[in-house]
Amino acid sequence: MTTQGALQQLSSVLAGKASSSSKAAMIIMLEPKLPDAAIAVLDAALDGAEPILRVAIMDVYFEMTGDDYHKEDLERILVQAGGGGDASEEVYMAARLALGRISRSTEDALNEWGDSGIEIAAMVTGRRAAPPLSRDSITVMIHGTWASDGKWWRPRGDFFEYAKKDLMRTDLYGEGDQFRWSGKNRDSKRREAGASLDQWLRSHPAAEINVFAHSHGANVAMLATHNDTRIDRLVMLSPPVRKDYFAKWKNVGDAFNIQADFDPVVAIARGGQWFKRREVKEKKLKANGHSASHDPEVWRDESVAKFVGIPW
Amino acid sequence: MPSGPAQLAELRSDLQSSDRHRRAIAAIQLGQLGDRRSVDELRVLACDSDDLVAIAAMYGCWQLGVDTVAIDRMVAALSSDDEELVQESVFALCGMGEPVVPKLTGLLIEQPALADEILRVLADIGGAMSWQTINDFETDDADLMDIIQELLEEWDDEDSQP
Repeated sequence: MTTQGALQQLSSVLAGKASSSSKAAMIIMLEPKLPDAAIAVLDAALDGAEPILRVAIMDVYFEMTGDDYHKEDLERILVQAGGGGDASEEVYMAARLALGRISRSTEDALNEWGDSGIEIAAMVTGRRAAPPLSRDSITVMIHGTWASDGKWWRPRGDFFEYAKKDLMRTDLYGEGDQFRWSGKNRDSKRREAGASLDQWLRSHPAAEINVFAHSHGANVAMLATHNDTRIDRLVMLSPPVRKDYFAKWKNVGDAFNIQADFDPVVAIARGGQWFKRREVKEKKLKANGHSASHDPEVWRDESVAKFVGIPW
Repeated sequence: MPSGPAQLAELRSDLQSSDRHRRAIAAIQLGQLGDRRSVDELRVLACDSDDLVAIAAMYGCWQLGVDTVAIDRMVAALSSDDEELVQESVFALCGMGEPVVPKLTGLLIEQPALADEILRVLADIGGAMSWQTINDFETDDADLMDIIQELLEEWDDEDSQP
């Protein structure tokens, strides 16, 4: 194909009725043949384009010019797509690949984007690294009802940092696309979240999967095992115990249930406190209250880490 | 949950415990068990200065058919920084269910500052009346409009959308 032919094809692809994903794939394939005149065509197509197509156009622009003009736009798209969902996963991965080709300093990325900067900084080290790489192990923290904005389970949160440093869970996942769910107090939302966690774990493959999950987040984790996702260690912190949320136990390695002595939230949620099953090792804390089970002080004072067998 | 006379007596005694969590559990469980002998004590506890205890006692009162529960305190707790308090309030209000929707609708008018929390808890309660309230709510606040839009879009079929 001549460069002029490639330019004509580019115009017809952009004007055509194919999906944005298809258009994105096609213009990336055309890129090696495109003449400089294509830059103006691509630039005009940016306005109003869907994120996946925008990412492809910016990627091609960088390849053709070596100019990192769109770097910040790509970072913004990456951060916005980090929230999850099928469509955003595609955009997220594409933005990761594109940004991997545009170097920037780790320090700048961290300063500018905070936690998400870690993700961006990781890309600086490699060009077109193949995602997602399988890890040896991953540890995931899951919040409970109406707690998706809470701090304890996120980077810089007290229990997150305790698990990372004191419990030496260096594989604790705290990047921009950390798993979160709506936290709505509805059975249907918990089941949706279970399916979503299943998908999230598949897109973050690891040989060994460990989960700390609080309250109904533990039920979300158990629901995720219904579709043959395996959790090697499931540490449930104050779950309202209900049979209809029980895990597919053959997909769970070691399961632990940590409960406060007196927990009004579990009582009012009409959940039980105990599984009374051989698959689950159970511990009653001396401390009271629904948040005691993710309180680092309680973990230290009551040797909870030893109970769950840490170090793993 | 205990239910024999001895256990009920123990729960009534727990209402006087120095441990706030123990008092709260006793209030919840006495309500769930329908122990009408505790009504007066629960009414007193519902005015306790400790939100955790007061909300538990309000829930207990509601379970016993006392319809004078001041749910505005529960709703205010939904925006607390204390996760335990937030969750206690969510589960209490959702446990009260659809009968509490008219009170929540009234609060939407009286306390617009709490509209975000009220609308979200209405969505968690579900039912046709909640849907209507959310759908009919009018506001100039763009953030609140986004929340309403999201709640209506995510409404489940099982949530009795009219």
